[in-house]
Amino acid sequence: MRILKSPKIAIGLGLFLFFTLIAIIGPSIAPYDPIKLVATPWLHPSAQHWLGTTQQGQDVYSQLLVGTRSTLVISLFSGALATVLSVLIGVSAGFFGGLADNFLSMLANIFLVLPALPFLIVINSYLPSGGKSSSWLLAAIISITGWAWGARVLRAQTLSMRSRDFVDAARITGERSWRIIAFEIVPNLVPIIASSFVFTVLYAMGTYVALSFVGALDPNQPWSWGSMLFWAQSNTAAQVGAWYWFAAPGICVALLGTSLVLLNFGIDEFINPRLRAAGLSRKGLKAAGISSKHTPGLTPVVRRQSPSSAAVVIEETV
Amino acid sequence: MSSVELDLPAQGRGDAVLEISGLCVDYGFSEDAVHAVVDATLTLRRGEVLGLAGESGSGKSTLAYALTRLLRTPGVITEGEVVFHGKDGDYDLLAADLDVMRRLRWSQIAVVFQSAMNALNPVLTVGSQLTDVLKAHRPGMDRRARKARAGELLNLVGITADRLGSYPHELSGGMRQRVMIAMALALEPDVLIMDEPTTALDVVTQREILEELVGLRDRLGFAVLFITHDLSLLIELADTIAVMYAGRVVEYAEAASLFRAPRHPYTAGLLNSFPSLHGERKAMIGIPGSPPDLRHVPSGCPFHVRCPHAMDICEQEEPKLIELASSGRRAAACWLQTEGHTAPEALALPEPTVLGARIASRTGAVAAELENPEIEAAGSAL
Repeated sequence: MRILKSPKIAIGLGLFLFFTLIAIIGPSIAPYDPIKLVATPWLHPSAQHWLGTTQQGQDVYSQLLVGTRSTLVISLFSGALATVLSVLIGVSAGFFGGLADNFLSMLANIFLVLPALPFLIVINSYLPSGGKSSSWLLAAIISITGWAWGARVLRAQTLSMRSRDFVDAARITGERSWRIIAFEIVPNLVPIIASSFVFTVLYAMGTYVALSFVGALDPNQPWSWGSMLFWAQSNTAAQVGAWYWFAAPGICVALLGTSLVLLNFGIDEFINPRLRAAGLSRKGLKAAGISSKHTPGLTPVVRRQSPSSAAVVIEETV
Repeated sequence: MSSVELDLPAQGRGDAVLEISGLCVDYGFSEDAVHAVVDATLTLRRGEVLGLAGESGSGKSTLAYALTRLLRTPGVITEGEVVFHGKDGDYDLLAADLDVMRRLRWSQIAVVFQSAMNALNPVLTVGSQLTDVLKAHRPGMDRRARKARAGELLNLVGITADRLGSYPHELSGGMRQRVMIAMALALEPDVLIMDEPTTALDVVTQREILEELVGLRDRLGFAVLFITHDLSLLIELADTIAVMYAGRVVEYAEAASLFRAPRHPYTAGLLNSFPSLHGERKAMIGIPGSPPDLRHVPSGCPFHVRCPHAMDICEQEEPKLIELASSGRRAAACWLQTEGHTAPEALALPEPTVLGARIASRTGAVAAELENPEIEAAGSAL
């Protein structure tokens, strides 16, 4: 597939699939139970314990493997939910306009300016059993703060779509509004929805990790990268010199985040061929033997013969 | 060329102002690059209207963009030479850097594009956009002089100077296109490249603008490279016509010779596909098939698959653009016109003898009607 030729997509997708694989098989390949005390505390990485042990003697490597699943599942679910919300609200605001648009835009604006983390902590503490009951519920409340950005972008694009000729043509031929939205407008928004989904997943992961880290969630159930960071921090891992304890989940968060950002950039380039053309031609220019610093607004001249003959031509004409 | 030009002094009409030779333009760099223009050789003379005709995708616009170095990546010039003989010396446009090109563009080589009228900024008046050019390029002019010059420019293209305060949306499409032509002429260029400047306009406006253009050319003496798919329009407008097919120049001749006595079967096919108002009724015959995909150009002569006179050699070897015996300059890239082959009757018609007729047609349509009715008719049948 052409999209896989982009190095951004290839690296991003590779990393993402790697983490997905870990999320699936992680708990079954983990050498130890993440909560059980299996060794002496504060062991540094060794053949026995690849990523050392915690202050209580739990295996960090096993914690990392087990924690991947909930981190990934909650981020993806929450990202998907937020994307559905943003499509529903953004597209209908843009398409229907008027009062509906005013109201929905206002709603989106409010959620944009709302400080998400304190808001989530407050909501979470009001939930039955302090929000420590269900991961799905948690994902749902994270998505509440994540939809507004996508909705604004989709609203803007829908506004520009709805007055285009092909939408007018659909209206004139008597298509119903829902059909125009579903078959004329939304297919044109797919690239934006895709890239907004990827970004929302990234946002949800960050928020989930942050919520666990500050201790707003149960740090043991479910086990996640965020709760590893929580325990590492509360047990002063950094001061003790147990860098592996917080570095391992930290690097994983960074890598998953990078993979999502790369995917997003890759999708962006795929949607907007002009970005891609610039990237490809730089490579092509290098292959053709001219400097990649060619000036825009000046078509490059690459002679098929040897460069010396080009110089001769210039001398003759001047 | 014609007798009109022989009377001019040596520095006047007739000297080459833009020489393109062996120009090749590709899209892409690697093996799968599309060769959009192949070995194009053309000469634009001072004060001449050179028409470039061809179907969509024949490379005419690519050629125009490439020679002004305006083609965007992945467009790349792979071979050839473009020499511009400017007011202040000769320039090798393919060796020029951005500074040189910036100096030449607009002030010496101006370009008007197909939808140029959309290039006007909708929130600024026409006058401010015209004076803006002068402010940037003629720093010596004061405000009043600039305004006077802007009004003069509008007058030049047949718009009254009181329109200077109008916004683009207050002007019709034809007027906007005229404003763009006025802008192109603001710095008195030597060469005006027009890429289908009138395609978006109706035929009446088109005709008005083109008459204006030819009148301006006669007064100001710039040369025009006029690109269009409308061969009948060129026959009326241009002095010389080059016909392009699949990125190659296949025929090059003076307009009247090309119209009366085409030497390339593709030109003949194009000429057969529009009717003549006067003269006998002839069945119009289109060219069978469709233009080639430039990624898979047929071997040999790219036209051979559609050519009614195709021979074995056409499939094997590509014909070169060769000079033909003629009273003026003409050339064709066709095996039929080479030694050892006899061209069919339709491609060996005698050239017209009254070459001045078409030039006269600009100044007096009646005279042209008498001398050369068919050409005028072809023009009206746009």
